[in-house]
Amino acid sequence: MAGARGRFGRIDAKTARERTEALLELFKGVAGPRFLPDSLAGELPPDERQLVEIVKAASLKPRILVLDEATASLDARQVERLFTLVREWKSGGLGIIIVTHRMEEIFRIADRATVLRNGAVVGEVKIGETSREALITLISGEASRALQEEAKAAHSEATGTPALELLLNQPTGRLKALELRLYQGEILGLGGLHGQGQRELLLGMFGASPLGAEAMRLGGQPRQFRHPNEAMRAGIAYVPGDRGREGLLMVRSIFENFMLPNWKNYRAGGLLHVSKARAAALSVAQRLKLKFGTLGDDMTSLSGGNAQKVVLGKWLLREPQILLLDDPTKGIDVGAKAEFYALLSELRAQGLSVMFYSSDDDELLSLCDRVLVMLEGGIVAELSGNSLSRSALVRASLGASNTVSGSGVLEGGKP
Amino acid sequence: MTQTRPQSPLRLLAQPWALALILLTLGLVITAVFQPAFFTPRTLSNNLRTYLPLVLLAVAQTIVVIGGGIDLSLGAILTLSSVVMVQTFGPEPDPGLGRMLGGLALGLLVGTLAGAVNGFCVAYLRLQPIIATFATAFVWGGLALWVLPQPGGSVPNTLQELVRVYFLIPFSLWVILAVVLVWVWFLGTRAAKALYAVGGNPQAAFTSGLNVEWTKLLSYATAGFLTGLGAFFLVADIATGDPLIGGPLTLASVVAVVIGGTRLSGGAGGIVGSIMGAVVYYLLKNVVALSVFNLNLTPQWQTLIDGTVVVLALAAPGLIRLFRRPR
Repeated sequence: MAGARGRFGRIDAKTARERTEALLELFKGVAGPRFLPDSLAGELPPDERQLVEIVKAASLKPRILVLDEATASLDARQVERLFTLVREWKSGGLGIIIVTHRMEEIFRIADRATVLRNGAVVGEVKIGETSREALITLISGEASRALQEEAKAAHSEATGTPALELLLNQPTGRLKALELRLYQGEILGLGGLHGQGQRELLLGMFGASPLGAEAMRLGGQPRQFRHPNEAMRAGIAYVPGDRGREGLLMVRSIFENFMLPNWKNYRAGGLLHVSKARAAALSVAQRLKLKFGTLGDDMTSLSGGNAQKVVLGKWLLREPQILLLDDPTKGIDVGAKAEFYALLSELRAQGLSVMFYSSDDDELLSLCDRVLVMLEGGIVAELSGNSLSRSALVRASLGASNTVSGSGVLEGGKP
Repeated sequence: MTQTRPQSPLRLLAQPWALALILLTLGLVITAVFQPAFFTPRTLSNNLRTYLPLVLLAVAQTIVVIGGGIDLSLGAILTLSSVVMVQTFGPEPDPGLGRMLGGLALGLLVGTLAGAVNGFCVAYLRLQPIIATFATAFVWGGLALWVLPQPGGSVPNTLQELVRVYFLIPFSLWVILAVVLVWVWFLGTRAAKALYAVGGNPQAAFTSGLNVEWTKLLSYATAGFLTGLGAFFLVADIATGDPLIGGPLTLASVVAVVIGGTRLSGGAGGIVGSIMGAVVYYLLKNVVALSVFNLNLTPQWQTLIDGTVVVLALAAPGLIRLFRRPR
């Protein structure tokens, strides 16, 4: 800590402690009883850890303070206290930048707002001279792209028994209590800002993290998966968000990656029917228009889009009924994206149910029949038909939506 | 790496076990020049018999390393397994078939179980492989001292004769050949695909429905079994038990794997390189011994030079990469 220098180049422990206490005092009353200098940071709850981060930054006596989503894990009273401090710091001459996804905070604390979209500044407004509506329009941009018009007509009404039902009665891990249905031949979108529990939801449905015994129903029958293996056998496939880390064996060949979950189908005595497997891999590679040298080439020889096709292809070989996709088009080129969209429509036509998280709103708008918007582990809006618009999507993502009644979402994580 | 495919002689050098092949050739040439007697059938056969336990340990280590782990207790497992065998054989020179097979079976069982315990610690208790197996090495070593506190015991004559059989090629080569054949068979099974997948990316293996923990446990247990087999060839060769014999072989097995071109990070590699690596390890030691003798150095130098050679061997793949890197 700055300014606690003692003699002989050592740290003056007493001063350091006093200053730490003074800093923690700033959030007295809104933090728990363990919010003390000697508590281990790792044992504090997430909101108090966030407070430690904030006072740490403040202790450096900066001239410019950047709070990057600093309120994300704080509850309402902590945010209130922080904003009181921010006003104090501001009157003391400090310049403060707040990055936030909570619309109402901008209007409570900010003097000016700058909107960034896809890495570019798209607008700057004075808060006193603007409205929420105007800001949301600025954030979402004008409804764009021919993409959006394209497949709309094909969207069908969801009817019949759901292929999959999920009912969480109580918060589970990072997820809040929630309920969803996925119908046959439907593409159900998952929207919302990044990291609002979409990944946890998909992983839970794939049996990679526990979801309670009675939570899931497949075709009306309750099913519990304790391992991805069981979900796979029930006809579920999962394309992870980080394909390099979770989806692929980068040190093995394209062929082996295709076959990873499929070897079971190519048994021949104690050995494997490699030529049959090779033929299957080749046919799926052609179906996906994979651009590659030979099946024996390293995975590293493929581009991002083509690598993603391998992840998808290994599941298509199993002919799944339900496809869970975690941001599948992240970091892949436009051409591969278009091919992927076409494939998705084709799969839907074949009666597959697809659940699809995307960080790209355009994709959700153009591909999905319905979109569930997630915020802080819960589902805050269901958009479909006319209500499925860009501004509704943005609005719900920011928690400024009235689509789901009594959400209390803006107040954050603490009950 | 994949765009330009080098022509035949260069392609050989691009193989992961190229280093092992180069060192093997080099070692053989140097040995041939300074010690021609090395290549008489009798000496060769004797030497191969000495190398055989390490060859099996290197194969065992390779399997664990491909699966994304490492086992620093293989030497201790070898010791434990060997003393269990010697104690079961009993003191008579001809104890009968029952005792011989019993000793072999018990030794293999102990080796497999010890490996399985290592695997359990790593896969299910999620301990760091290096730490976990380094620690269990002391347990296996301690157990070995409990089973046989002093070097001693004897090995049935039949078994001693068995490993000295010379049918067309030395017995040891038959064993190595058999191991390679089993390996080739194994590569065509689902278990092999699972092993490489788990070592290459446990996350991806998990989300592809593989049982990551079980695969890891099996890799360690298999290594334990192969180590037990190594222990059998060791006691049959030296005809006695020694509760401290396996220690240095752990590091040697890692050296063999590294020279053999198997990535320590897992998911790639094979046993053929490691087998060559094990032979290279002994050839290097032999070359060091020859130079110490020929240069009239005192024997104390041997440990220092041995150690340096081992470090260089471990560093060699890294050094090669350093120089290969495009500028």
